[in-house]
Amino acid sequence: MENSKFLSVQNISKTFKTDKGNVHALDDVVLSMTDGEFLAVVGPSGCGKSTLMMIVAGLLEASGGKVRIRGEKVVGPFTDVGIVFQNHVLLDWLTTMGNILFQTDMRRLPRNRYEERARELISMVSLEGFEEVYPYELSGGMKQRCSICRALLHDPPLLLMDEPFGALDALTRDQLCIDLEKIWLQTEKTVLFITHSVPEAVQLADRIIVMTPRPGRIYKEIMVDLPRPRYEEGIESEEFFHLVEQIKRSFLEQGVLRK
Amino acid sequence: MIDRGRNRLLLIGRILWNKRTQTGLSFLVFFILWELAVEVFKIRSYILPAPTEIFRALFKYHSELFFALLFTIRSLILGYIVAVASGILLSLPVAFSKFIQRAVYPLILFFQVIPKVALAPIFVIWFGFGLPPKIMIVFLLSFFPVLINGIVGLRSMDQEVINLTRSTGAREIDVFFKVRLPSALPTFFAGFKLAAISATIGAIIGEFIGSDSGLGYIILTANGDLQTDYSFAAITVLTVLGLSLYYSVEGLERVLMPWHISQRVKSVS
Repeated sequence: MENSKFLSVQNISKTFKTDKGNVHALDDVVLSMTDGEFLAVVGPSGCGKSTLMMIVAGLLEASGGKVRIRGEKVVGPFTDVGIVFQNHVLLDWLTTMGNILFQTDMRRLPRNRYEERARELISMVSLEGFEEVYPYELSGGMKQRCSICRALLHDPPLLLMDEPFGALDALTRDQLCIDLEKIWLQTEKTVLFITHSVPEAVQLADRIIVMTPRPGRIYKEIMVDLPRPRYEEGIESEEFFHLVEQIKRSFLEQGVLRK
Repeated sequence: MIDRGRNRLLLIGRILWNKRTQTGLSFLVFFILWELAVEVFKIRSYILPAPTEIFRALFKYHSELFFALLFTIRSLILGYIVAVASGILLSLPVAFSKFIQRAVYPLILFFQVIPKVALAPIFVIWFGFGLPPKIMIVFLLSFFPVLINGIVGLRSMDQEVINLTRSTGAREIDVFFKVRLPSALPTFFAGFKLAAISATIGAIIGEFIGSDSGLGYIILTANGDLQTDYSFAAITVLTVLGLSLYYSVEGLERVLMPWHISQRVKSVS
């Protein structure tokens, strides 16, 4: 049963040792994802949701518990993945094209086989005409689009996104949400999407995990059964607002939001 | 009509009043004031020659100055190249090995703190009057800024970039050449530029202490003969030499890193 899951997080906990004592970031987090699922994790800042993603990626060691992807335990960085970080993490000295191909350069995959795909991705996120432009000439939204292309270039089955739109203005954010849903519908990746924006989670995810404040635990799991593509009418439906309200209420219950 | 005339004047003004003319203007004003001061206060030439006299001396002694320049350039360039090369090479092990950092770095720092001007006469005893002691002093003065900036540049790699490369399973060698080195480049160049200035100072110190040729030697002997205009002429050549080295390095920087922020804020340099 367990192995039919694409990804499973088994009793993960994490404690950071600092000069001022221990910080208990995650406590006994259990979750699993099926192949092709879009899972969003929402929670107040500091609840350890980014830590969770880092542990899933194998970039951070858990204090307890383990992560399995396709049945295999994650030990050290998991490389069959594309990651979009909160900051675009583009390299100053590479153009848009260079930054996207950085993914395959680092993996020592032949450039000529991926240039075509890079161009497809560029047009998918409407970055045409900016292929040979350096990051400083791009807007915040364009940088993040470029970073999404980089994460998709090598066609990984798993996409990890750590508050990817957190640093963007509201309008750019809405646009990127629409674009991301389109991309997801086309590529059918398994996506773990970390966010603190409730509407963003409801608009994108199949299922939403609501976390508690630190130490982060799973507070609630909410299925989102809105029809796709949601950017057409889903986000105006009554059901959409109902779900957003439901999650906000759970933050009120936890005392994250106060009236 | 009046308005159009005024606009035209404003336009001409704006064309003339660009960044370059602003810089040029400050130099021009400086030299005119200098010239006037010498004229008005009847300052004797051996105390402070007027800019026009220095200009005349430049012409009069041009062949002497030229050969002295060739001599100084040699020690300057050789010492500078050795300093840059060894600074780069040494920054790698110090940046990547805690052990080497603990073992070697304090020693380098120790040598750096010694006033190098005080070492110059000793170099004359060791290496004589020729080129080697001068190269040595140039090297000592310009080596440290290259090393320090190199270490800082190589070490300061963004944590998120490190995470990104780790998630690709990249090999260390690829990360080094494709990420660490290019991200250290701006800091390296800051060191090269500082070193270019120190190197010029070093070249002159070397010739002050023990030399029978070079621009430093001319400055010293011209001073002894109270030929202050000649001395100033040599200083002028020296300044141009130092600036040339500095701007060559900056030119190289511009070619190598068109993406860097220093290229976008051009008014700073």
